[in-house]
Amino acid sequence: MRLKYSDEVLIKGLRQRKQYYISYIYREFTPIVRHLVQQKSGNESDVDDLVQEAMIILYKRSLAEPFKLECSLKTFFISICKNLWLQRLDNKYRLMYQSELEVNEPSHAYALDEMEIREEDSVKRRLFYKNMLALPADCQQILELYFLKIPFREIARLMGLKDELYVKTRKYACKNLLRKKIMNDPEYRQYFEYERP
Amino acid sequence: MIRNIANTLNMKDLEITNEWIDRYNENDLTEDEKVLFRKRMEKNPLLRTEVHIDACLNKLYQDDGTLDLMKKIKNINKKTDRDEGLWSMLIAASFLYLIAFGTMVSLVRIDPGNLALNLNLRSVENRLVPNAKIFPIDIFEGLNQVKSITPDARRENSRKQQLALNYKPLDDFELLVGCVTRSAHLSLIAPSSILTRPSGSSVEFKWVCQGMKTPVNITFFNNRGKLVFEANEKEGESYTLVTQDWPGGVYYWKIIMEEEMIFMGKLILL
Repeated sequence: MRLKYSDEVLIKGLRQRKQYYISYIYREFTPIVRHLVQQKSGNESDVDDLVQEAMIILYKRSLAEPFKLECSLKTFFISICKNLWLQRLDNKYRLMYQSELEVNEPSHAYALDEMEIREEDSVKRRLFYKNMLALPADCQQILELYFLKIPFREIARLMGLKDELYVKTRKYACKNLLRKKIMNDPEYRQYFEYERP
Repeated sequence: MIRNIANTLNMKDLEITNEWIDRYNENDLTEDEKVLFRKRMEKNPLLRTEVHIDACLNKLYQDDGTLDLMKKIKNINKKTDRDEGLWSMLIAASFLYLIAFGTMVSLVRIDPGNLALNLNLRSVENRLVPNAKIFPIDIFEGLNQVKSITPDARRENSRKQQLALNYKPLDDFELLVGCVTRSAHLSLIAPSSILTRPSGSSVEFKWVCQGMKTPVNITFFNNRGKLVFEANEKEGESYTLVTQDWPGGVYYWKIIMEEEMIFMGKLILL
């Protein structure tokens, strides 16, 4: 039997990035997003992208105090996904669509700040994170430690590397590798071709 | 000669692109370098794009919370994929099992009176070899062997299971492995935070004290968090641990100075 959690508990869990609550939200809300996406001929990868992005938006919102929901968490989550999905469809196919409401709550209850949810930003962010997490493990660790402002000497010691010069060189190489990976990503070319020469 | 000059210029260009992008975004370039770099950017759209990407990356890396969240979401996706894979394998295995079982049933007849299996190959064999004999197969042969397991064998099995349990990491300590909590006066030179050695070998601990020498305690815990050994090194800057008679497994060590933990590491004895 699955336990049911209140919205407050889930938001608190997400704010603290607890794996259990993240998995719970993912498990509970994904089927609805899947249904929404499949209605418009989307695929499983679209579902993953939307859920991922909605989770980030929800997490960022939950960090901003005071965070108060005017509707249920599920409605809020689905409306983020829906918003992103329609933007994506619009970008892809320039289709005319009629935004139908799937929940029986007044629409102003889950009206989102349009400026905050932009599909283009979401694609960019997903693309960057995808490549960041696809780096070799040592590169990921060096870059994360570096951005935690840990000195090169300390990083070398923590990771059992030769010396700080090696860490510094490796950091440049990892960053360079990451930039190249992003620029050569087909998704980058598809969406951000205008930024290329 | 012209080619050499061109190569030299290209190399210089490469150097600038690799390192200077990072330094430019971190405001680490000198004024002269900045001017030169900006000129390069004006002429080179590819460099401009790289600088833009690098700036975005810096911003994303600084938001370590979201990065952590992304990792956790990725773990869920991986787990879901793995679960789906397991389900497919389970279904495939069930089908194979059913086919194999069906084939066996068609070939084998179970005789409960004799507690034995007789191969129902008579019709086939009669066709192939007219006077062939059929030998019964005792299905309890293997079972009898299991029943007659000796106490020594049972003890050996139990020892193996116990040994396997020794390698299970302790979650509470795993989080602290490699952490430096207070390193103002002491720098650890050896060993590395995770070290694997054969059981019985020696492990050398080396450190350097800056300023006044302070007594150092090294404590060792097993993978259940139980203290197994403690060493007090009052004056020196090294200690050699001999792991003779230590059973194989995962051990954690802490370096403690003035009752505060300075460094924690893991030792795996094979």
